[in-house]
Amino acid sequence: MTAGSDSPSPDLLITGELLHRAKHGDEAALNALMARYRPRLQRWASGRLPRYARSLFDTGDLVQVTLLKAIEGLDQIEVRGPGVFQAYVRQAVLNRIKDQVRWARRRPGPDGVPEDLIDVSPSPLESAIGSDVLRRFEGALARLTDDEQQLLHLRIELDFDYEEIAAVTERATRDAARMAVQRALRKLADIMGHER
Amino acid sequence: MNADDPLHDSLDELASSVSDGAPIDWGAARTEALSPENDASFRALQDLARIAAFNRALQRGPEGDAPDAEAEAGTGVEQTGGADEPGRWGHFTLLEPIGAGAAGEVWRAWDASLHREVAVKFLQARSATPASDGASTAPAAGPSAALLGEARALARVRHPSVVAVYGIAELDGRPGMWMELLRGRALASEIEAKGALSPAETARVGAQLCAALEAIDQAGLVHRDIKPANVVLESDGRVVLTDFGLGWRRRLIPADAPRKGSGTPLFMSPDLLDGGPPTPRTDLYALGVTLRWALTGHPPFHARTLEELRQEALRGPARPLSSERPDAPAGLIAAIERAMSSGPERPAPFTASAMRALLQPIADESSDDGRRGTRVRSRRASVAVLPFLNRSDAADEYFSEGLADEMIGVLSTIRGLHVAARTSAFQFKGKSEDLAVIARKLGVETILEGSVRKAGERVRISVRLVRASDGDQLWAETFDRRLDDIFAVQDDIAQCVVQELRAALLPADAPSAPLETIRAEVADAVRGRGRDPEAHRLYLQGRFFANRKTPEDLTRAIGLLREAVERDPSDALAWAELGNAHADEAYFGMRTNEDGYARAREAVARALTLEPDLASAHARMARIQFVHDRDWARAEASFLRALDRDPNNATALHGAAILLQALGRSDEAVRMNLRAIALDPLSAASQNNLGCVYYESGRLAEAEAALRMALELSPNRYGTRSFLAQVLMEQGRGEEALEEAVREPDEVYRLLTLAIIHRRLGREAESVESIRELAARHGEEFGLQVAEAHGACGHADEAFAWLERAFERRDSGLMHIKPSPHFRSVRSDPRWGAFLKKLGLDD
Repeated sequence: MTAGSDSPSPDLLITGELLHRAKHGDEAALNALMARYRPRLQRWASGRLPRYARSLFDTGDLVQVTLLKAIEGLDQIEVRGPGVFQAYVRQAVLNRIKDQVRWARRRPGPDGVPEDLIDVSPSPLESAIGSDVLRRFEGALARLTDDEQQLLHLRIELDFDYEEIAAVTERATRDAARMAVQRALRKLADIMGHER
Repeated sequence: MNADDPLHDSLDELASSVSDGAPIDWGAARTEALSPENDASFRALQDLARIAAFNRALQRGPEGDAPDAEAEAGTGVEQTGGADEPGRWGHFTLLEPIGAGAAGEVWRAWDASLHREVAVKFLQARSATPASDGASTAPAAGPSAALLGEARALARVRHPSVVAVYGIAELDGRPGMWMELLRGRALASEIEAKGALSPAETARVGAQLCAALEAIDQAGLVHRDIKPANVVLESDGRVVLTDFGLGWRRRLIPADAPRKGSGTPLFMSPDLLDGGPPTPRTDLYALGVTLRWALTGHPPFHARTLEELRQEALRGPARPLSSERPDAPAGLIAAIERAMSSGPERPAPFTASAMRALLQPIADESSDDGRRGTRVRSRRASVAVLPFLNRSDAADEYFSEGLADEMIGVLSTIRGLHVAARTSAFQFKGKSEDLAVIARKLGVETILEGSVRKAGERVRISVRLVRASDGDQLWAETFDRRLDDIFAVQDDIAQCVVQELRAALLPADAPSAPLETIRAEVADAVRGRGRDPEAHRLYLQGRFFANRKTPEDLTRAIGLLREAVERDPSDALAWAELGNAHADEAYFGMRTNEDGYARAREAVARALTLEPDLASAHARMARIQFVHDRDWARAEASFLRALDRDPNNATALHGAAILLQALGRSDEAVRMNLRAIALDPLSAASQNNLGCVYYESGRLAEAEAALRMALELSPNRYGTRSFLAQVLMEQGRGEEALEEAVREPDEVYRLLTLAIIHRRLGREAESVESIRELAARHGEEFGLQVAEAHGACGHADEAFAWLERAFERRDSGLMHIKPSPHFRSVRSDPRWGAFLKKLGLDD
């Protein structure tokens, strides 16, 4: 089984133009965007949401709401430069997950029960790699450029192939995209390593 | 790697492979290419590879909703190829190894298709291939065909007490199955960590396993490897039979085929050891051995060779189960013994359903078993209120503690609710123990915890109710109120807790109580409380100091409580507490008995005039009637009235148990002690009392267990080690008895016990010397103990003389002499009956 089954046709790629069209009411563009991007984002998010929080808010809803809000607020994204839509959405989804977790815990308040008494069951990804590794990963990722974050998010979190990445990030060839991902990954490893 | 790739160092190559998702031999990569300075980046790349693999597994799983259970079973068998990527097995990401055995290794894994954690068990070809065991009728096809057959058979077993097998396949060239991931503890680990299970718990485990065996039998299977290591106790009370690595279908096994490796020898019946086929009956035998082990805490056989084991199994265990666990109900003993019966005189055929019929009633009815009263009971509305965290000045400690204490008092009178006693629940004050562990120790399903911050006239109380089994928060609330509103806050909290517990723990189809009903229940539960918030504050403060049980604190407590009742004479709770404090004054010798108990009686009587049904007042009055008046009938009536009003009143339960013990009504005393222990499982005093009742009744094994439990809870408790030594001596274990006796921290008890043990060991001179020392050093104050030493050593005249001296001093210990084993040798003496009559203890 490969990612090929999800391969996009060029007109469905998440380009700036598609985003603009979606933002300005082009329903076909919006649908294309949601169909193309949402399933992968949703699967990725499912690995980041702890089980106890997931039951309170369907992961699909969480991703859809966040994605729609991101599209609505597209003007704010653009000031950071083109081609970073996914990195922005990624962070928005993570923030939403954090809110979700906080809400799920329903802490009585700042004067409430001590932190160590609160349910801290991990997300599936935390279970798999450990919360310490995840913390270092997020910390290191935040120190990369928007473009590098975008590349790694697409490749190692959403499993986009290099051709798709080239199209999304407006690189000329598949190999150029591959090279950029590998450089970003090496840089990320160096930063993570030094934070160890 | 692409030839044009400009990456040149080994880490770049590794990054490239990680990015591409290509297989990496990390061991070779480390040894071949790594320099020390790159080690951190190397390890980070390993982490990134795992992150990438995890996300890839998520992304490449099939889309759509999870298939239903039947579809899972039907489609779970698949055969795919795929990259031999480390940490992957088909669409599973292997997260961590969680076990390994003869049948293969087991991993916790992430199922990317259904987005859930599972257990993946890799099978060695031989374990899944009946032909390798010599079954000539096995299908001629290879392992894959055998695996498919196995999976189909296993998928037919759908039972809560059988681990759910989701699928079986040969993926990436490795055969394996994936199944429900259990998070509980193996029965073997439980026994190892905590010793023998109670009869009730053993019956509960056994009944569920019998049901599992019935389901397995109906599917045409036998398990073949039932043992404590393959039984998992889940935190919700479910008992799950696992490890089907050796399971196979009966029809694959010819009756005359030689058998090897059909399980774990200790659990194999003589038939199996003789080479017979595994059958439902051999599974039942293994279950018998498993339950016997659970009930006694040790394996039933000690053979060193298979032949020795066969002989032992044919003869049966050397010691009858009824003598090892005399506290076990006859039905449990019979169930285990019939399951393990294997000799030629074997009785009528025994089945799992017949065994379950014996065990289920015991499991259903004996939830009050005390030996392991700390276990979590199933689906029972139960709660422990932990001391609330004080977030104000240390001087306000009384307030946070008092509120939690009050909450226990209110909740404990709610019908159908099991509330852990204060003495046990408050042992966790200031400790950061896991809530699940606390709940387990206290035998409850839920925990109420909170914090209190006082600032001037305002108070903020944050509370939350947590279900211990999964950590789910059932309810949480923060109350910002004025202190003069404190009653309303307490009532609000109580109402919410009752409502949430009922909703969470009662069956879904049970009618929910209307809010008005709950309000009425809570209003009923707080009867006796005064109306003045300031008086209530003084009451809380007074009780806080009274609980410290030192003379200085007691004096301070009485001052505060008196102030409380002067301010609000309608506060029945404060009157009852004041009465108890006066009784404590007498107990500590701060007042004469007459004066102290007179004051106590007056205050408690005021409380009962104000609130005739106040359970705490009846319990206090019973104490006066029992200890001072020696009016056993009235004391018993008062205890019973307190318990009728408040079945969870630990004070009344403890007191009633001691009274029944003093009256020689041992069976009732045992039951009352067990009730007390169920509510107050961490009370060393209750375990000690239970041990003494058992000792006096001649139930020595149970006495030993209870006394050891008391020592586990409180290793330096006065007297307990001395009783244990005497129990050991009664069992003929003289040297052990002596060892325990010399470790007794209290000299009075130590000398008393040494006198008895030396005498029993034939060391007359040492015995006499111990008594002489006891009398010389402590005779004035502890005449009763000198009498006990003489009585136990057969010195009748001296025993009666010292008993008279104790009577003159109104020694309160005299109320316990009737069943005491120390006076066994003088019971036929006419002076004994006369003395009991003088005490009012005659029949």
